[in-house]
Amino acid sequence: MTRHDIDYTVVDADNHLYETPEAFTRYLPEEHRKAVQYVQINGRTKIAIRGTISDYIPNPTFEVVAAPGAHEELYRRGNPDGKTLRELTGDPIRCPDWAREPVSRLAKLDDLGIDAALMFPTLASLLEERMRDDPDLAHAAVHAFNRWLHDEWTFNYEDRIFATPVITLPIVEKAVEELEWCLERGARAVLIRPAPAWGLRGPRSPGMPEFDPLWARIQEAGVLVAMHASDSGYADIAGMWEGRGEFLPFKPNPFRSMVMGSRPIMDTMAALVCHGALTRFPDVRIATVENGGAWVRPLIANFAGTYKKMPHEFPEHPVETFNRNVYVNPFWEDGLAGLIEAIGSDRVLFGSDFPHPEGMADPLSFVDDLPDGLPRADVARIMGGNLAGLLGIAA
Amino acid sequence: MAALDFKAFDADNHYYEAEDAFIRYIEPAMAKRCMQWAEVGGKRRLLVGGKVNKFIPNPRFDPIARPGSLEDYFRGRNTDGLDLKTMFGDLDPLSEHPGYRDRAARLRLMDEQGLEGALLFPTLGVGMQEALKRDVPALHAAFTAFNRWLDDDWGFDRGDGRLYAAPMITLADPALAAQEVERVLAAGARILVMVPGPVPDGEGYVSPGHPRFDPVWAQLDEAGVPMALHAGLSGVQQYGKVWRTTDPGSGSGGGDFEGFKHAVFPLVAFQERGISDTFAALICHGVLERFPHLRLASIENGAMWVPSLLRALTDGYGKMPFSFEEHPVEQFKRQVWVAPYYEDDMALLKDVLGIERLLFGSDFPHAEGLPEPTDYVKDIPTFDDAEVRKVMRDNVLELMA
Repeated sequence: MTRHDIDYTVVDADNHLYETPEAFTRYLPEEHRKAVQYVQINGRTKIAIRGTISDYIPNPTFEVVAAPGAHEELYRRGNPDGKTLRELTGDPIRCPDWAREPVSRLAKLDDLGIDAALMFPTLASLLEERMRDDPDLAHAAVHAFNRWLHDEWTFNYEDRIFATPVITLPIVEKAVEELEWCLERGARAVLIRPAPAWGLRGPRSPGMPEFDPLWARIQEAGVLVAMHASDSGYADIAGMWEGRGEFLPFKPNPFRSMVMGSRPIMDTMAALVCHGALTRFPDVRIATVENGGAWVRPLIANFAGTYKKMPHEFPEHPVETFNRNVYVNPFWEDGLAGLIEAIGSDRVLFGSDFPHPEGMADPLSFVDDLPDGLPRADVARIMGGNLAGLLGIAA
Repeated sequence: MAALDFKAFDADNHYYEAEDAFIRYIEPAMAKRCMQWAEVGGKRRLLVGGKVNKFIPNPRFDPIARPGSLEDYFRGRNTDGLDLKTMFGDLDPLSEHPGYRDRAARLRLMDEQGLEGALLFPTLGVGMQEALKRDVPALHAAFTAFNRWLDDDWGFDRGDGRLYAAPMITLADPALAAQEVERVLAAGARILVMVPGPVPDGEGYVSPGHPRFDPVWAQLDEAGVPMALHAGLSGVQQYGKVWRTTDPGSGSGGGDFEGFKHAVFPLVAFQERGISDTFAALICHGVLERFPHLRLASIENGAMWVPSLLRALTDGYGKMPFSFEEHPVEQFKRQVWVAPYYEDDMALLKDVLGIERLLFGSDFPHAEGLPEPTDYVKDIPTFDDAEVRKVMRDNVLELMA
C-alpha cells in the first residue's frame, strides 16, 4: 500500500495486539490464581475478574475478531440507516497471526506502509479498574501481564514495534519498581491509564506529590508515557444517572458517550497540570492516544479562563504547561485544523487504532484527513516525525 | 445604569432568605430533621438534618457583600492575583438594603434600576437538596415549608407583573413532588425552580429523565409553566471525589462543598458538567420527546457549555439515530431558554442557539452578579436594537407566556 506522496517516516501512535488467554494467567502468582479466569457460559468463553464476569470485550479470547476498520463508515458518515452495531460490524474474521506476534506484524506494517508503531494491548485495560480496591493484586496482575507481553512481543522489536508495558500507580514504590523492570528490558514507552490512582487510601490525583518518585524516574529515563483510552472508572458517573452497570464500550448509548467519552482524559490532564506534576517535571512527555482531540480546545479554554480568575493558584500558566508536556493523537474525524492551530503540528500524532473495528482499515489514509494545504513539513511531523523523536528513532 | 428605551425584565434576581424561611411553616414533627438555628462556639449556625451546613459562609446574610463585588474576578481581571476573600471587599449591614428581604422595597429598587420585572430565585435554598438527600421525607417537608414562606414574603404572582418568585422543587420522591407541583400551580406559580444534576433518591441518584418523574413533567407540559434549572449543589459535586488531593477526613478535599472555597482543579474540570449533563439526560432519556410543550430555562449556569453539548448531541445522533425519535438539537432549541453569564461570548451563543432563546439575567444582588442589572447590555454591543430588546425583555416574557 505504498503511496507515492508519502516520502517520510510513518510512525503510528496507536496499533493494537489481541491478547491470548495466556496473557493474564501465564505469570499470575499462585495466590492470585483465581483473580483472572476464563469461564464457559452457554458455550461461550468469558473472562471473569475476581469471580465477576466482564462483558467489556464481548469475545475476550479473540479467536475471531471484527475486520480492521469495520466501523469506519459509521464514524465517517454517521449512521443514516440506523443500523445496529452488529450489522455495522459485519462478518468476523479469524484472528490474524500479526495480531499475536511481532514477526508477521512487521510484514503487515510493511504492507501498510508503516515504519514503526506503538503496540497497545486490547483487553488489559480492564484489569486495573476491576482491581482498584486491591492495590497489591493490581500490581501483581499488571506485572504478570508485562512479563507475558515481553515474552511475546518484547518492548522494542527491531526499533519498529514498541509494545507498551503497563504501569499501574496505586503503590508508588511498586510502580517505580515496575518501571525499572520495564526500562531494563528496553521499554521506550509505557502505558498509564488516564484515571485517578486508586491507592491503599482510596482514589487520588496522580498529579499529587505522592507520585513524584514515579514522575521523577520517568523524566530521568526519558521514557514516553502513553495515556491510551482505558476503562477509567467513569461508569460510576454514568451510574449516578442511569444506574449501576459495567462499562460496555461497544453498547451504543448516547448519554454514556457524552458523560464518559473524553472526560477521563480531560480530567487526567487537568489533574496533572493543576496539581503541579507537569511543572515539577517539565520534561515528562505524555502522549494521549485514542482519546480523540475534540476535548483539547475546551480544556485549554477552561485552563485560560480559570487562570485569569485565580492566577496565584497555578504554579505556572496552565496552557504553557499543557502545550509543553502533552502530545495528542486525535481521531481523524475530529476536525484537525482547529487542533493543529491550538497546539501546533509538533504536538499532534498520527494514530490509526489498527486493527480495531473503530480504527482505520488503511492507516495511511489519515493523511487525506489532514487539512488541505498543510505544509509538507507539518504533515511529516504529524505522520511520524514527532513520535520518532519521542521514541528516539530515526525520522 | 445603561440607557434603554424600554423597561428590562431580569431572568435572574435573588432574595436573601429570611431566617425563618425554612422554619415558619415546617411541619412540627419534621422540624428537627430539617433546618434549625444553633449557637456553636458563639456563632449562629444553620443546622440541616442535625449537621452544621456551610453552603453559604454566613446564611444570616448580615453583613452582606455588595452586588457585583466579584465582577473583576468573574471577568478574569484578577490581575493582582487577589484571593477570593479579599475580592469580596467591604460588607454592608443588611439593614441598608431592605430590598433584599422586602418586596415593596424591592419594587422601589427595581424602579431605580429600570427593571419592569424579575424572576426571583433562592440563594441559600439551592444548596439544600444535597444537604437533605439522605432523608427524602424531610427534604420534601422542608421544601414545602419553604415554598409557603416564599409565597408569603415574595409571592409566586401578585398580579402586578413585576416579581415572580419561583417555588423550589425536588423530584426525590416522585409522588410527593407531583403533589407539591400541583399545590404551587394551584397557588399561581408562574415558574418553578430545581437544581440541575441527578436526582437523589435517598440512597443514590437517578436521571431526572427516568420515567418515574413523568407525572411531574406532564403537569408542567400541560400547564405551560416553565421549570428553571438554577445553579446549585447536586450530586455532580461527587464527580470530583475520585480526584481528591487529600485523604478523607483531613478537612478539605474529602469533605462537603463549602461556598466560595474554590480550588482550580474542579473549576477547570467540572464547572459546566452539572448543567450540561442534566440536559443530556433529559434529552437522551426522552423527556423532551415525551413532553414537547415542556419549557426549561437554564439560569446562572453560564452558557459556554451549550456549543459543546449541541456538538455532542449531534455526534450522538449521527452515530446512534435509533436512540432518538427526533434530532436532539431540535428538541433543545425548541424547549430550552438559556441565561448566559455576562462574561460569556454572546455573539457565539446567538449563532449556535438563536437570539430567541437567550435571556438576560444579572444575578442581582449577588456578589458574582452585576451591580447594575441593565449593564448586561454593555456585554452585547454587537446586537442590534431588536435583538437587545429580545434578550433584555421579550424572550423571558415569551418563556413565561
